[in-house]
Amino acid sequence: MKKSYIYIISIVLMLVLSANAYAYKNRKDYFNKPQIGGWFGPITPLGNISELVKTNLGGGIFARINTPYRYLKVGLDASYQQFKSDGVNELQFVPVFGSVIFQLPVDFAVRFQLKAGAGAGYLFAKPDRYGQWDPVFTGGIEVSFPAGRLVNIGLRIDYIYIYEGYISGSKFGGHILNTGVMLYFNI
Amino acid sequence: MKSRILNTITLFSLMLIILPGCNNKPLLTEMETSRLIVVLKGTYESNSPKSWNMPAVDSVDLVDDSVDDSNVTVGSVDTLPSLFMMDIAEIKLVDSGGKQHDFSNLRQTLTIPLDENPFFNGTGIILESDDVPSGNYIFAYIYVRKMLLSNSTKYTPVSTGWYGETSFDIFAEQVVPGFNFNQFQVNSYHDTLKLEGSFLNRVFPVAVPIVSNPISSLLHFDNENPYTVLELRLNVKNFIKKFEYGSYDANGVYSYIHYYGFSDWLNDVQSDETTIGGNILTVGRAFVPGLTGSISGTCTANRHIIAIPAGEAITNYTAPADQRKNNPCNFPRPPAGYYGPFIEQALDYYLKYEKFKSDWNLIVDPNSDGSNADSTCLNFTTYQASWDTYAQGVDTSNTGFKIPVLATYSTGGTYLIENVPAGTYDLYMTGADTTYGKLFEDGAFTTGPVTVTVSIGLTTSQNL
Repeated sequence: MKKSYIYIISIVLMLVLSANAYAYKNRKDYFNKPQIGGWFGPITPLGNISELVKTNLGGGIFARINTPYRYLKVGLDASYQQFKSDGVNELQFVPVFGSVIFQLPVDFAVRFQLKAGAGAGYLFAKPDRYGQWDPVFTGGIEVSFPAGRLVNIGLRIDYIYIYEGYISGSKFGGHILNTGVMLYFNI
Repeated sequence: MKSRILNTITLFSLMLIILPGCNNKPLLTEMETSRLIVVLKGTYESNSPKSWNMPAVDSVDLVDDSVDDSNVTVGSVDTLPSLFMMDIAEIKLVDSGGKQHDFSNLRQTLTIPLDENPFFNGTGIILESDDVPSGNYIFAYIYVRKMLLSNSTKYTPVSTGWYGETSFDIFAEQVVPGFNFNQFQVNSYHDTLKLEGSFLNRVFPVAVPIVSNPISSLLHFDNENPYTVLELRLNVKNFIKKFEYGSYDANGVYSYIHYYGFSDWLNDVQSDETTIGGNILTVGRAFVPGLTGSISGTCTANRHIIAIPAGEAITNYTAPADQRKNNPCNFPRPPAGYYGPFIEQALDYYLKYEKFKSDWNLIVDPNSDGSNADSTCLNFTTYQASWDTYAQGVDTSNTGFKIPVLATYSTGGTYLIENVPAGTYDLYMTGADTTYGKLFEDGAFTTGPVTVTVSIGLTTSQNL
């Protein structure tokens, strides 16, 4: 059931992407260009895994390109997140996911964006010393301040869900909150 | 060109969601699940131990022969210990490559009454721990910060004799009536004769060997098994004795503390010594619940039955009696120097030094005739050899004295050894019941070897 939804979303996006990535309407609206940048901030485990590992600092990079619809972008995110604990538990998490970013069509100096996406994350757990790729789903909010032609500064809050329900014997999935500041460039 | 690259990258990211494959384990649930269970027991026996039979508080079986300065009988206010307290900083496992693995870096404080609770009745208590990577492990290092036995007494000389009062110490940040004898277990007397003795620390950590013979006793931890039990045993039950420790208090008065510690059956403690180390006797073994069998049968009542790997010498599990007293080069040690502002300390030191010279000369010149021809310890070569022999005799790692992996006590006329990993074992039974505070001297096991083979899920029957 879930796999068919994934296929539908992929096909829709493939059609969307057949357009030119550089489509933007207003020359002075530098924000509506393809962007590339990075983020850094606290990463927090929530729910069941918050009893195993603790909050730490993490960071990542992302890129996003335009679509024919002005307020919609498509992006790719990757980050490195290492959660430690007072004991011997440790979780290294490398999510790589694509997302759809919708900018709220209001004309403020700051830009609000909502994000939803899916992808995969590589998890490596200690002390078990076992690693695997798990599917992840994500959603988030961004507030950005375009600071000129090239640079944007923003704040982001992302929620990531690590899905393990399809594996027999799994009792819970992983809930992670990423917060941080972003610095990205219009290219 | 740029747009095509970006298009491709975004497409690739969406494909990743389909990537996670079929052979995945529930990794987050595995992190929460502990598959290695560490069980700590305070008995010589692996199950069904002998009951407590602690003798009366001033009896000669309980009081060590090193208590000769304040051997109070009239006016004694000593009471039997009632609690065993242990403060563990952490536990590590050492793999067969020698690498140490953190798996229980949690401080745990245990307060255990000296009765038939799980620590002393053969069930064992579970220590908090995480898991280790799959592999073979040969040692468990228990980092013991403190070990106390309650009800220690302090005796101060007063004009009418000895004045006794409860002596206090600190455990788990609380003041408790007891004495931390762990501070004296850091070295044994024999360690202090060696140059490297100052680097030896027998309690931080206590190295518990995980027996690997038969190979099925080894801790081969595999996180595919639902559970693996690591059983660590310390010999505490029926092995507690009273010792004395003299020191100057803040007013320069030399007082004695009667404290309880582990019996000096293996490494004898002599008068005025505070090196009581080498008497923490331990053994470790591992098994997977469900992949074990058991051995049972009829036998004489009130005997110890042990199962050792087939073909191993029984002398590895017994020790000769009085090894230190029979050591011809058991010279006395000079008294510790005097420090402090009291003249009494200096005077006491000189008195003790004269006694030391006299005792030393008795070994070199037993007949006091000015000739050392009849000395039992003529030269340094003899000294080295006799102490090397002693070291081998008390060595708990190989052929000196070991606690067997499997042991039990027959209270009635039957015995049962549980949780036996598959393999071939030799059974031995003692010829007499044990005396309090003592283990097995050479020749104690009169019945055996009786060879049995144990299979998984079956009870092997063998009458002794």
